[in-house]
Amino acid sequence: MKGKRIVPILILGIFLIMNAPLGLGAEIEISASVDRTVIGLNQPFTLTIEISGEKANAAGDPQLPDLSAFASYLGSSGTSQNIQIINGRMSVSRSFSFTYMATAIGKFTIPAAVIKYGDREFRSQPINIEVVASGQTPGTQPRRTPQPQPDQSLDAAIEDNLFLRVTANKRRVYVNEPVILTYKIYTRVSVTQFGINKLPETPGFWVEEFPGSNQPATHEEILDGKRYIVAEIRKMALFPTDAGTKTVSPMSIECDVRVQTRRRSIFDSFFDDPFFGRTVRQIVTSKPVTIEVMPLPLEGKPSDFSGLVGSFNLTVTADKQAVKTNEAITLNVKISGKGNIKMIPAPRLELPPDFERYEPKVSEKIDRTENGITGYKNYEYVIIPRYPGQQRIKPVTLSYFDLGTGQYRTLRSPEMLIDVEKGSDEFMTVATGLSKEEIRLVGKDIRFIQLASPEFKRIGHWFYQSAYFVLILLLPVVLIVVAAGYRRHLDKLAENVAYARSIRANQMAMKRLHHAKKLLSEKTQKQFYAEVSRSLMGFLGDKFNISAAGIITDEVENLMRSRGVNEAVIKQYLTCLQICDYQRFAPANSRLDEMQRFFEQAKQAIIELEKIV
Amino acid sequence: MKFSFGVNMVLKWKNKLCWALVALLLALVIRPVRADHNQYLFEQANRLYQQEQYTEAIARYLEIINSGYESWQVYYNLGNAYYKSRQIGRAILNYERAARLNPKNEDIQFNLQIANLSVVDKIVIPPQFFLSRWITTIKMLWGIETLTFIVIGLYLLVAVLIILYILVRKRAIQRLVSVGLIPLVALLLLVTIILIVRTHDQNSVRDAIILSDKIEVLSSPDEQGTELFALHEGVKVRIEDTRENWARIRLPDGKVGWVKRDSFEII
Repeated sequence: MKGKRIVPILILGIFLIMNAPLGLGAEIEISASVDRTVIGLNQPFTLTIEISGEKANAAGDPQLPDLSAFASYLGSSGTSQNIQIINGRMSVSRSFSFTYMATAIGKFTIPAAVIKYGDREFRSQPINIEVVASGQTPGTQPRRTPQPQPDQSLDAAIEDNLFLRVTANKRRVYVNEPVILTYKIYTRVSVTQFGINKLPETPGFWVEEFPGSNQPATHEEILDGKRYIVAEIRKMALFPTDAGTKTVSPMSIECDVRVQTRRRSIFDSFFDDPFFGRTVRQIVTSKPVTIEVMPLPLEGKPSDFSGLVGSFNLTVTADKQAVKTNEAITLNVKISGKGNIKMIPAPRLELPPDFERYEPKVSEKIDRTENGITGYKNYEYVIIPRYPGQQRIKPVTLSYFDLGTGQYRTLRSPEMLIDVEKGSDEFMTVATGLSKEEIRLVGKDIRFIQLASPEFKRIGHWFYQSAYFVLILLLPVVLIVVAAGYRRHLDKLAENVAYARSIRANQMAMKRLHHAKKLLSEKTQKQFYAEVSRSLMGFLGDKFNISAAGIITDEVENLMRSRGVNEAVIKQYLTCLQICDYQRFAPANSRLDEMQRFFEQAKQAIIELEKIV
Repeated sequence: MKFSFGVNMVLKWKNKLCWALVALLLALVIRPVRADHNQYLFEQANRLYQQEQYTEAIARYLEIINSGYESWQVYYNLGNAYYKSRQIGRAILNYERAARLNPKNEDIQFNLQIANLSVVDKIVIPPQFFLSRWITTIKMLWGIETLTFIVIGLYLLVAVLIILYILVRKRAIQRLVSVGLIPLVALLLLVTIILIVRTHDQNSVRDAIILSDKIEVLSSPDEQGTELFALHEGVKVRIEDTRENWARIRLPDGKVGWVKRDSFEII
């Protein structure tokens, strides 16, 4: 038995059919009411006819009064039934709501509704209404009464008939699994207005609020046998961010309640008029909600899992499969589904390294419907291949926890192959990635080849490895050694007369011998022997560094012996000297061949001595 | 006839040294006959290059190199021919080879720079410490052959100075030599050290140029290795290790990975 009434103002204009008649009611009572008595032209109003009493069920449907003079019938907006058993008596109340639209301006009377039971007719009181021009509907705005003093007895009466109920679609959820909390007002009194006093606190949740309308829809609900008008005033999806037991604190709202005091007095009829009821401000509070949040299982958790819970789809599309280098491709990665859409991470797009990529354009859409939070998140990448060839775009993966199966799932888009052809503007290709300075260079060409004849070198043969190199390195060493030796020699010559004489002895002796050789004839016999003698004595003097003039033959022997010259050489030398002396001073004719032999003998003596000294 | 020992020795060696020097000079001046043919090939290749017949020119230049002879001009011209026929990797390879022989040549450096602009990968080389930058600059001032001759020149100069110092006993010359000798010897040592380092580099450090259009650099020397990054033609890498068909490469920015051995050529 559900019906929806549209109430065009902020006020929850719930017109409530109050309690079934108390006590010993009549068999059948019928009453009629309208939600408003002042109605704008072309605006709807509701006529409610209530039948109550023991026999209410037995009676048929009421006959509708004819309102065609000023209103057109739009349709039934619902019926409800309420059965009460008090003191063993059952009382039934049924209400019928009909919606009309005012079609004429003026004051009219809604005739009595009639119901027949048996052969009796029951009638309701007629209602006076006024239809005014649209836009000026003074009656629609209820007169605000000043803040009424709370009345203990009234409060108690209201408490049972007005409460705030919160329902959760689940009490045990996984981390990031949404819980939908719905706050509803249940009322059996006329609530003219309400405002939220205190919002529930939701620690440990990420809240996605469902958009509330300014005009909450109402419906009727039977709870514990009582008929309530129910209005959903707030609905939200809670995504727990971590595991544990979480409590959502109560929400409280402040309602203005029109109280119809129904006292059995002569003023009854007077107070029955709803506009003369009192308004009471009442605060109603919901119960706290406890939700147990379970951690996501560790088992089988993919490495790239980022906390996505629900059920999702992944599609990767490229606008082109074949391009030329430097042409842009738009790659869309769309993740849609149900769950915490907002937490969808940016997909890991693995592009070949040649691709240039730009920051993705992200768009998302979130629908909050009865079923929960659904929607999609779209990443639009612009990628530009810089290099020709068949390029592979690796699969994009997305892991989430599937609530349906209670397991992790990894979505994997198919691998994408893109054929990149070489673009015609090859040089520009290169230039795109370059700095200004480099671009300047690109415009230039390489320098021309070398035309001059080169010198060829054996590959792998280096001069430093060659024998010549070693030779060149050794040469100066040798030269330096030689130079050093020569220097020593020069120094000795300069410093040591004896050394110098000794060095020159050979030369001098040879020179003299050479001279003597020229005198080798019978005519110059004496000179020849004198010259040989001089060269012999001179050589001796030079060698031993003594004056040649001061040497006498007798001393020669001692001199030579003292210098360690061996006997044979001494004897040979002395013999030569004696022959010279003999030939010089005791002239005797010697033959040429004798002289020749002697010359050789003397020369030999000098050489022998040279060897020793 | 025997003379005194010192003089005797000098005379004896003089002759031999003379012959050695003559032989050396001859060896330096006279070129093998092959060089003439290479000269001819070189000129022919240059003509073909000027007629924009790059493929034929490349073949001629390669013929010279395959005969076992090289010169920086051949590498440079070959690099140009490769560049003109859009083979950037080989162009860079040959410019690098030319630069090895003649590091300071402006034309080589310029063309190498131009060719490197066409390389897809831009490798950011982390800035070097200024000292090591200077050392590199000094090290790369000359090619190995030039360095060798500088060493020889300095060495001979030092030797001549030492000989002068020994032989000439004139005060002015002695002072001049003793002043000039120390910096000269220092310079000689420096250049020698550079030469030693360069020859060591030549034999142990192996740089290579990627010649494949695109290669995937893997984390291990097998096909199953994870792809670390990709490289394209023309990138200069250092070969650190080789294993069967694979080589471990290092980029100037420090990235390391394995590539197939046929994807590059050592400079």
